[in-house]
Amino acid sequence: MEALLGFKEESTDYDQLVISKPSSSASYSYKLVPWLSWDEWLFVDESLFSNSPDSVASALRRISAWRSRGCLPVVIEVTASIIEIQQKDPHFRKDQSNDALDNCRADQSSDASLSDEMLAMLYCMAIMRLVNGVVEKTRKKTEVSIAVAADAIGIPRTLIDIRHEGSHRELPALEVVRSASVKALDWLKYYYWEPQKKAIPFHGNETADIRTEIRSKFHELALCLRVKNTPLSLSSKVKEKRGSKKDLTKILKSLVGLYASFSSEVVSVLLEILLNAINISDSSKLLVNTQNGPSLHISLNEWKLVITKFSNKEPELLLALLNAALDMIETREAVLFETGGVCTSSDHRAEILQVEHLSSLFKWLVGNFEGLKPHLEKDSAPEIKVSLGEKTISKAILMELLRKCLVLSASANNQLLDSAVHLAQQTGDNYLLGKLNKLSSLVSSNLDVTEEYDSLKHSTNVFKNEDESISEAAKKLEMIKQRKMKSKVVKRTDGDARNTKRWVLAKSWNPCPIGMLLELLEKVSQLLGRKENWELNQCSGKREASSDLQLLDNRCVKKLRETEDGCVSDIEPVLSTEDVSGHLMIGGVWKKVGEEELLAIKSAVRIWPHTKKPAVRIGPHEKKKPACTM
Amino acid sequence: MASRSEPENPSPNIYIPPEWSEAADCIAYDSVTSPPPIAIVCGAKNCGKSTFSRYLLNILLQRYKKVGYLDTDVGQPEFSPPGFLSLTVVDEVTPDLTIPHLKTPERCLFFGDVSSKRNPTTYLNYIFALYDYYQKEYCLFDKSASPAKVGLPLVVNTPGWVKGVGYDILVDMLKYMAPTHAVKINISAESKNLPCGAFWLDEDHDGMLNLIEINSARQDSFNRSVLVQKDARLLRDVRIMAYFRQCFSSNLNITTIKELAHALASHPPYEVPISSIKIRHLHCQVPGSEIFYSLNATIVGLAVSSEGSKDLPWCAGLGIVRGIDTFKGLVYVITPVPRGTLEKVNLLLQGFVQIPTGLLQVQGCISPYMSANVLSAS
Repeated sequence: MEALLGFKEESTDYDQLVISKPSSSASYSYKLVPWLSWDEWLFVDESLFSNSPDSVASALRRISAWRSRGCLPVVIEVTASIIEIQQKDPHFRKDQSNDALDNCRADQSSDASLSDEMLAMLYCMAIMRLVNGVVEKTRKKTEVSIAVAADAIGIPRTLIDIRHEGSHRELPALEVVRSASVKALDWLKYYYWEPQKKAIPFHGNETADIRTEIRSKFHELALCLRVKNTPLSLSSKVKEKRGSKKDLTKILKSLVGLYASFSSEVVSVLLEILLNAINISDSSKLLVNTQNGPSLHISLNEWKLVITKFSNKEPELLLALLNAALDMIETREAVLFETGGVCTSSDHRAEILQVEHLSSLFKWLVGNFEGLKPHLEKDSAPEIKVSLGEKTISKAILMELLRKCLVLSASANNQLLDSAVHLAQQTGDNYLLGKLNKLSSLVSSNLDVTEEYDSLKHSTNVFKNEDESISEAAKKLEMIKQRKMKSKVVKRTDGDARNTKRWVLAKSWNPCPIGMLLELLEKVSQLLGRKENWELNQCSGKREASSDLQLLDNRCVKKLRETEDGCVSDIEPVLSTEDVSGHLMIGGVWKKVGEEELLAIKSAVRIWPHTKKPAVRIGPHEKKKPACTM
Repeated sequence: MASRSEPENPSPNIYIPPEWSEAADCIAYDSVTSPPPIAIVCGAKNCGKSTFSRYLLNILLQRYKKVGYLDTDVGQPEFSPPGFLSLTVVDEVTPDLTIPHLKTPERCLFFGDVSSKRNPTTYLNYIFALYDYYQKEYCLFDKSASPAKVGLPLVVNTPGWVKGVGYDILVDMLKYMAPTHAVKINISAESKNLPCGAFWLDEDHDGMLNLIEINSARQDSFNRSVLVQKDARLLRDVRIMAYFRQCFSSNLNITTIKELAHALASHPPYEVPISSIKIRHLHCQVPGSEIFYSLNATIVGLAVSSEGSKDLPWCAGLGIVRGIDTFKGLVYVITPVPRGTLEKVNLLLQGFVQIPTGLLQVQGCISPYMSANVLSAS
C-alpha cells in the first residue's frame, strides 16, 4: 500500500494492529470511550435521569465534554439531546421548581420560551437522529429498509413514523413528538443505559465483593501453581482438575483484568494475603509440626511464585506492593505514636507486632524484588532499549522508595534499614551504599545499647544516640536530595537555561498510561501552597462538592487533607500538648527531652509529612480508598 | 527541452506516465520566472493528486532552489500530520515518491479535523491566510531593492472532495489564488470528475492561465477503474504515530506501534502551567468546568496566539495531553516540537483529530480511556 510506510516496518505493524483487535476480543476487548472511568459513566447515568435539574445540568455538561472528545456513542448523544430539549419544554418544566432550573441553566431562562413549532422541530430532529444513528450501527445490509431494521432492535413504531413524517412530510405536532420523546428515552434506557450498567464489572457491589473476588483469584493462582510445581506428590485427580496451562493463563488474565480496573484493591488484597502468610508462619513456629498434609494454607514461598507470575504480566506491581507496605507501616507507626503514651494494652502490642511483620514482609519483598529484577529487565527489554530515560526513571523510583524506607527506619526499624541497604544496592550507587552501611552499623550498635538500658528511664545516652541516628538519617536524606538536585542542574544546563520558562520538561517521570499521572512523593510546602490553588478552582469552577465523581479535583483534596492531618498529629502532640510537653516517645515510651534536643529532633522529624501516598491525579487507580487511611 | 539528467527511479512502484512528465515540464520550464508559476493540482479522491504534486515539486526543484508547497488536504497532508493546513518551503528533491515525508512547515494552521466540512468558512480563511503569507514573503519583492531575487514557485495540493460543498470550496480557493497553472486530473468515471474547462472562472476572465488536463496514472497502468480505496483512518493513525515517533532519536530502535506506545508512556513530558496557556476547542462548546475532562489524553495543536491575526494563530505542531494535575495547575504534554519553538506556545487548540487507539492500548499500560465491557450496541 502506498504511503503506509510512514515509519519503518509499518506494514507488519499494520497487521498487528488489525489482528490484535478481534483476537483479544473475548471478554477484554477494549474500546475508546470518552469517560475516564465507569464511575464517571455511572455519575452521568444517575444524574441524567434524576429529578434534580442541577444534577441533570451537571450530567449534560459532562456529556458536552465527552462530545468534544469525539468518540461519544450516538445513544448517549441522543439521550442528552432529548433531555436537554425537555428541559427547554415548559411542559416538562412546570412540575419542577423553576427557580432551581433557572439557576442552573441561566442561559436558557433568558430566552424565555421557544415557539411550539421550534420545540417540535427540535424533538423531531433528535428522534430522527436517534432512529438513523442507531439503525446505521446495526443495519448490516443496506437493502433492508430503515423501518425494518429499526423494528428489529425494538425501536417503538412511533419513533420510526416520526422520522419518516419529519423528513418527508409535514412536521409532526408538538404533542406527538413530545410524548414520543418520553418513549424514546424509555427505549434508550432499555436498549443502552440499563444493559450497559449491568455490563460494568462489579457495578453496585461493595468493595468487599471485589476484594473477595481478587482474593479467590489469587488463591486459585497459588493452588494452580502448587499443583504444577509438585507433579508427583499430589493425587493426579487434583492435577487434572486444575493446574493446566490453560487454567493458569485464564486466571492470570482475569487477574490482569482486575488489576486494570481495581489496582489499589489488588495491591491491598495481596498485601493482606502476604501479611497473613507471615503471621501464620510466625505463629506456626510455636506449634511445631502441626502439619495436616498439603493444607489449604499457602506458604510464603508459594506466594512468591504467584507474585513472580503476576508481576511478569504487570511489572509495576512490585513497586506498588513495596509502596503499599511502606504506607501501611507509616500508618501503623503514626497510630502507635498517638496512642503510645497512654496504652500498653494488648492492642498496642498487636500493633507493634504488625509493624514488625510488615517490616519483615517489606524486607522479604525487597529481597524478592532483587531476585526478580533480572527477570524484570529481561521481560521489559524492549522498553528499556526504547527509552533512554527508562533506566534513570526506575532509579528515581527506587530512590523515592529508599527515601521513604529510610525515613521510616528512623524509628529504629532494623529490617527497614536492611531493606534500604538492599534498595541502595539496586540503585548501583556505591557511594550511597557505603554511607548506608555505615548508618546501619551505627544504628544497630545503638539498638544494642537500647536493649541494655531499656529499663532505665532517664538514660539520656539512649535518646542522644537515637537523636544522632535520626539526624544522621536526616543528613543522609539531605544528601540524597542534594545529589538529586545536582543531577537535575546538570540536566538543565544541557538545554538552554532561560529564566522564564513556560514549558519545562518533567523532572522525574514514572511510566504510566496516557491519560494518567503517577507521582510518588512530594514536599509539604508545595502541598500547602496548593490548597489555595484548589480553592480558587473551586470558586471559578462552581463545582458541587457533593458529587464525588469530580475526581480530577476532589480526590486530591482528600489526599491533601489526609496529609495535613497527618502532619498535625505527628508534630503537635510532641510540641504543644501540655501533659506530654517536654516528652518524646522513644520505642513506645514517653521520655523527657530537653529543648535543644527537641529542636534537633523537630528538624529531623519534619521529614515525616513529606511522605505522601502515591497519587494518581487523574485516573481510576485512585478512585477507591486505600485499605488503610490515616 | 532543457538538458537535465533524468533522475533515477527509486520508487519503482510509481509509474509516471509521459502525459504527467509533460505537464510537469510545462509548468517548470515553459513559464516565466517572474511572477513565478503557481500551480494548483485538483481532482477526485485517489486520482493521484499527491503523487503528481510530489513529482511536480521534484521537477520544479531542478530549476528553482526552493519551492513552496501549500497543502490544503487536511485529511492526508503531505508534510504534516492530519488536521493541519500548511505552507512548506522545500529545498531538496524527495527521491521516494511513495512515502509522504514529515517536514517542518514554514507556516501552519491547525484546523483540527480531517475534513473541511466541519467548518468550510474557517477552512477557507486559513488557506487564504497561508496564501497571503506566501505572497507577502515570497512573491512581492521590492523590485528596486533586489532585482535579482526570484519569486518562489508554489504547488498547491487540494483535497479530493469535489462535489457539493467541496466543489464550492475548491472554486473559492481557485478564485482567490488565481493560479498560473491549474492541473486537473481526470479519472475514467466521468461523473466523479470536475467539470471541463476553467470551471471556476467567470466568462469575461482575461488573466493568463494554463489549464492542463491529464488522466489518472492508475487508469493507464492497471487499465481498470481508478479508485483504489485506501483505509483513510488507518493512514491517518500511521501519520500521527510517525509524527510522535519524532519525540525519540532516530537511532532508538522503535519499529512497532507497541514499542512506540511504550516509549511514549514512559517519555518525560513537558509540564506547562495551566495559568500560562489558553485552551480552546476549535469545533465544540465546552463548559468551563469541563475543560480538563475534555482535554485529558487528547491530541492538541500547539499554537502561538500572538503571532498571526487573532483568529489565525500560527501553529508549532501537535502534542498529546498525557495528563493534567489540577492541583499543581500543570498540563503534561508530549510533543516532538523543539524546546525553543515550544517556549512561544501559549495556546492549546483542541479539535477532532483522534489519538490512535494503538497508542493507548499496550499491555501493562492501558489508558483509562480504553475501556473493556463496553456494550457493542453503543
